[in-house]
Amino acid sequence: MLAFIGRRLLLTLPVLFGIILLVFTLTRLLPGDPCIAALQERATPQLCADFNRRFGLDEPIPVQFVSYLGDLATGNLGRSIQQGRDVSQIIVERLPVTIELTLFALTFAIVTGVLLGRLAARRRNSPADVATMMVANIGVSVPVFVLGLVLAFFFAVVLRGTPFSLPPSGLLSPGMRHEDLAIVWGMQGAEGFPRAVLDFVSHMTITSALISGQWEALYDGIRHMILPMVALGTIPMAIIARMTRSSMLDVLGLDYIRTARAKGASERLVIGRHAFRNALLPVVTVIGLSLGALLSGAVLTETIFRLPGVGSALFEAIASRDYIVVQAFTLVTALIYVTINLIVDLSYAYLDPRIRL
Amino acid sequence: MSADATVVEHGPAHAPSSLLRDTIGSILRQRSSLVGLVLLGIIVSGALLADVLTPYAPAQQLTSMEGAERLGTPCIHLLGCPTERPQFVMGLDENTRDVFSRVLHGARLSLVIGVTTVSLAIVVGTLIGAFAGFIGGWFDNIVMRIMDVLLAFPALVLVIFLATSLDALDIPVLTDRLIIAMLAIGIVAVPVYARVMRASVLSIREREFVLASRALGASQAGILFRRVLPNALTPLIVQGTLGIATAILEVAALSFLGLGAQPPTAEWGAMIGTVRNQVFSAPHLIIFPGVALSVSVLAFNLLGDGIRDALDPRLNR
Repeated sequence: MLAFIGRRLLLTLPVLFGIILLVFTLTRLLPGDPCIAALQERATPQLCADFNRRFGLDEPIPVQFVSYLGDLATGNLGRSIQQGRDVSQIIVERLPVTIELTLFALTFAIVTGVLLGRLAARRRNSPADVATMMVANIGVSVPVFVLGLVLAFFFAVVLRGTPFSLPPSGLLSPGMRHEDLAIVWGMQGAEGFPRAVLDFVSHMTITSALISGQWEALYDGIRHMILPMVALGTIPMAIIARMTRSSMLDVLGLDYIRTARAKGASERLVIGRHAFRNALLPVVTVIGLSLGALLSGAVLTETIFRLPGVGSALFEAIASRDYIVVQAFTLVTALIYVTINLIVDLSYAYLDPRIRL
Repeated sequence: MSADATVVEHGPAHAPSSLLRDTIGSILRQRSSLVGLVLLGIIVSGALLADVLTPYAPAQQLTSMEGAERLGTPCIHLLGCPTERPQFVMGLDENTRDVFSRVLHGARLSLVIGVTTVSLAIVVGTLIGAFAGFIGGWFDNIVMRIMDVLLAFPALVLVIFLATSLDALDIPVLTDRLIIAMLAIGIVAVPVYARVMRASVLSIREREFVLASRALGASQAGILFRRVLPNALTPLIVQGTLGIATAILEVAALSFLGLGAQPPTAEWGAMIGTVRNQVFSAPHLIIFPGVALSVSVLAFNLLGDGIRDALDPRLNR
């Protein structure tokens, strides 16, 4: 297992290097003098020469690349042209929202997708199977932004005044109190890393409301989360449902299932104990693959539901041509994606010993 | 082309014409590809006949028309809409344009976009994959690592990044944001086809019939085009069909975000993007382009799945 982890990590390194190189190259190709961007009307040739020397912009490109790697290692992702703040600061504020949204959507996708796929495989070619696969096919094809807007319209306008109506935007209702963890736990004095962790978790509204016992905010936060979760989770849900179904059908055709049936095991036992567990293996890979859809879809979901996450920040950056932010966010998203795919691969190898060979 | 492919696949025992018929027959026997083809037929005829079927030009503002108001709801005389109101099957948009005309013309644009980007990606991808597979060694290694890097990004995020960067670069030829978006989507799709092509080259290169043609003095190019490419056609067609669905989705998403087609172009994503804040007051502006977009994506997805199931030798019934 250790050898496998080592080999897999070694294979990831060139990809990581390539990602950083690609983003760096395109950053340097872009027009727009960083000096003029930073100093604006105060920029003079003399000042710019000083500026370039101070930030190493007069060095040869390979040297610049090395110092860029150093910047990345220390979390320096550049400065937003429009907001005049460090990009890393924006990410610390906004990433928790995206993480929470993605986790909710992923949970929804896995639970619903696996249940539907299992149901379809058990009743193969029944109306339930056909209906489930139709839902899956349509689910894969409806764009996130169309589904999101239609859901928002249906639950906020058509169902307005009924108990089923749901809020179409924001993390919490206006006026809903949600205290930061540092305040709830009386740790305003905390500084440095502990404080950063507290603030990071505080931005995950539902999680922090849950662990600090703010029940009203928790209820309100969950109600706000349902529509974005379904909008973002539907495509992965459909992919997982299809994968679970075909993987279940593959396993159900194997000899050991026939043996189990011949021994007189009940259908429930055969499906639940023998088939289902083994059928879940390929589903793990699909979960890794759907992560790309989740991270891509987060941009659209957060824009529609006005959630202050990384995705909506990316949208704002596109709208204001703040390409430093666009690049930094691309880089961070790609790094997260690669890391999680690595974890998925490793857990797959853990679950299926044949992969390690 | 596909007749050749099936001949090589199944050996020379059958006559080509009947094999072509068999292939089409087995594709049509798949429920999903049949449904996909029907949906696609509707969309293609809508796109081809857009000028005939629609009463107005897609960019025409009907401000001076009696009874035409901004964000007007759909009015169909057959469904009991009073005849004194002018008929607008899908209503009017924020600039008093006929939504039905815009949706149909949008079909034309989306089909063209989907097919062009995928064709571009297939041509570049197959060439890269073929060279990597044939030349092998360090060339193969470097090229395929670059492909790995492109695949390591979430697709839409990389497309957004490339599109913003290409836009900011101000390249003289690339001024139209829609073209930039298509180029970005094409680039991101290249690795998929390169991998498919390289895999077929590697699996076929050492087979007896290829060795035989090499012994007969066939050139590398001849082997590539007559032996390898026909064998790679099935996965390329399947991937290409599914890829059109992805391309249509991604262009729409980019246009929705303001990076692709710009108003007043009748593009579904852009149409939804410009009115997304009015979803509560004028839902028809979202629903009709949204349904058109979903149905097109669904059609290509079903067709691709159906072709795969029909041509997959492991699923022989």
